[in-house]
Amino acid sequence: MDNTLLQFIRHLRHHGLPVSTAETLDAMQVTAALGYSDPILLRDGLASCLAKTVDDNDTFALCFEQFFHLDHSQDASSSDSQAANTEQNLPSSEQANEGEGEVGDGDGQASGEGQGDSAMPGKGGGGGGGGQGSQTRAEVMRAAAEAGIENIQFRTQRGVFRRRILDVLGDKQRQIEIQALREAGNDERANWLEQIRDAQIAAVIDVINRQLLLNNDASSRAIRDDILQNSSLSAMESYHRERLPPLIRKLAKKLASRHRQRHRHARKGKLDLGKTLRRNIAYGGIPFHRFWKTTRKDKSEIFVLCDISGSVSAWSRVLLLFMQALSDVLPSTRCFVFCGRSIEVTDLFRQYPADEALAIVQQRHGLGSSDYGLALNTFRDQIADKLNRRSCVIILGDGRGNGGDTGIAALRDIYHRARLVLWFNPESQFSWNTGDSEIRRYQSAAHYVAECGSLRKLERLLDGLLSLLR
Amino acid sequence: MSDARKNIDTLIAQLAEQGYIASSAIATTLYIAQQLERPILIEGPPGVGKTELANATAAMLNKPMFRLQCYEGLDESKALYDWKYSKQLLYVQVLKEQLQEILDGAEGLNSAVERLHNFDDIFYSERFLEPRPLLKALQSDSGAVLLIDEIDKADYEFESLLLEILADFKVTLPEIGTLSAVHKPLVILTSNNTRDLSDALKRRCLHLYIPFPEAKLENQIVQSRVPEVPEALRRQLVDFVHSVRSFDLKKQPAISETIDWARSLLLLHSDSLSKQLVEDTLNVLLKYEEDIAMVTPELHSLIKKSESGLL
Repeated sequence: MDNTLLQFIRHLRHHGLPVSTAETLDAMQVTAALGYSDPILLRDGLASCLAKTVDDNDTFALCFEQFFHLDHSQDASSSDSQAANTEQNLPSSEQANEGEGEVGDGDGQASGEGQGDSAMPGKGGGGGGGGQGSQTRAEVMRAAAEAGIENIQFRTQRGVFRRRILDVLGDKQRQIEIQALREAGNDERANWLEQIRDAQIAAVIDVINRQLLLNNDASSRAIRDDILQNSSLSAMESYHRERLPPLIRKLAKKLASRHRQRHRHARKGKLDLGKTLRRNIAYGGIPFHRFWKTTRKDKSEIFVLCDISGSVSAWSRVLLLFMQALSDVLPSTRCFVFCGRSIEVTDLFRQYPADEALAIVQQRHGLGSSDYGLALNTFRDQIADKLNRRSCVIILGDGRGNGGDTGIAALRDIYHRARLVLWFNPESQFSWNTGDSEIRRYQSAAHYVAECGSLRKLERLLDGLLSLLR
Repeated sequence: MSDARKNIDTLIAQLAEQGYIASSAIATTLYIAQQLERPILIEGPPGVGKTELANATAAMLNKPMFRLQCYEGLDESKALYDWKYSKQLLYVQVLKEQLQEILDGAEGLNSAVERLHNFDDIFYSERFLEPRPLLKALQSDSGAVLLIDEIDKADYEFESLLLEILADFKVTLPEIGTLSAVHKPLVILTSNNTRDLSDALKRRCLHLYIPFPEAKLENQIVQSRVPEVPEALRRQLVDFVHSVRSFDLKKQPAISETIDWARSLLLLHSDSLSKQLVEDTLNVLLKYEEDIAMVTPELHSLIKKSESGLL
């Protein structure tokens, strides 16, 4: 009974639900209290202790449906030992046997041989005459469990597991037997054995595919995430790019939680002796009320200017996503985009969900060629009166102005006023200062120019930035 | 197994007696929480009856309810315990002479301090403790229902403070030691999801999400809360509210607003929705000017729709 539950929890973890051991123990108590017979009750009960956010609830419902529904329809020999389940299965396998008998009557010879076969002790899928339904599957399931099918993780492992399961089913002996029969001229029986074999193989493939579906490519997803983080954003296929947003949200959440904690730790100050004494004069100087020195932190404002011209748009898309996700820790972030003039899009990001906002930005302002002169000048005009020693300006772009005005004077203005001007360049350092790149000149008017072609570099940079701003 | 089903059905019936119409999921979670002695964390949009569930449960169990409303800056001296400073002070003043007697004849500072050490920390004993909701719930003789409302509004530190209570039903006071619950209270936390709660907190709780109810359930709720509303009108208004929820509104009308609206319609002695009536009372249902502006042009078709739903 608990085994089913454990399998189900594995299944949930594969789908990204963080189920802890303590929660597993809870779930066991829940199933003990509720029993397995009422699926709706079970679902509601397990959901309350396994799915802890609203999003998780949906995933949970999906997994529950997938897992227990599949069990009812297919899992003939499942080790679940659900009373209801086995009861359902028994009559069905009986039916299969009866059916086999009837078929046997139809063509005399095969029937006789079929009976002879079922008397044989071999594991060679004997009783499932004509490769019929549930019994073959039951045997395959049993063999699959023996072969450790639940450990399958990658599509590429299918071949290995197919071989293992067939081995457990005694496929080798059977092939030898078929060979021998053919040599002895008993083609009919050999054909019949081969039919069984084909049916078994089909069932094996079925089982393997189902298990892959249940495991949901968890490991390959983990590997893919890792690769995605490290690979250069500009070189990424659009197929992979679509998988980025959830990954970005995950990274941003990680950063956010880490920095929030640090912030909270530093908040409580030392005892404010003067105030404590003053306020406790009424109690004869006995310090019943204590007061702490608190350091007031002025929040730093962050301005992000993002190039969304054709060449770097995919990359700035990622960064804007990141910024939006980070707004939890950095509530005073203002976003600007430019091809020509700089345009503020902060409200747009607040109003719409991330993807929609990006689409709108692209559609309204995107895909021209970049004019850094105009962009930096208008940017300065918009934020100049807000800039002070606590502001931080981040500019994202490749610094390729197509030979036009560089706007370096405006950037220098910003540089003198702001606490920090950072320039993130998606190009790799080797191609800086080649062609129409003006990054060297911009370097003179920025505190730091960094290369951040991949998500991991970006995460590291922002991590550093956040600890600096505290 | 059918025992569990039976118990849960009784639970639903008992809650209904208190005027709370619970869905099966709600009752199941409540049942498990009682069996496992776990806190429940309830999430959901405002006004779907999160707080009400705690009230109804307390009434159903016939136990006192302690409510702790969370807000930014809430700390342990307001949530857990405080010292009765004025009482301590008074005692110090009154006992001054006794102290003098004790110290009489002591030679030098050392021996005086030595004598003082022989007395326990009388001023920091349970007699001077001022229990706040959390401690009150733990000390309650007959068990209690503890409602920690809108936990997402409190700070992170406060969440950590709660962990010990939620896991073991114990609190550790530095001056006294660890106090355990006399009877484990049923703890209900509610959250409006304005921020993510920590995983540690979530791990210790059962999670229950209460969404907006289906039309049938909402119908029952309105019936139980405002039984005077004629059935035809009730169906019509519930249908209307449901179609309003499909708009992109700043604030969706919740159950509490449906009930308020039903009450105000009752007050106006109306037995069916008309355009004029809805226009005049829409502000009961929708709380933002923009929302009202968005729905108003569609009123006619919405009313038509709710009427046809009736037939």
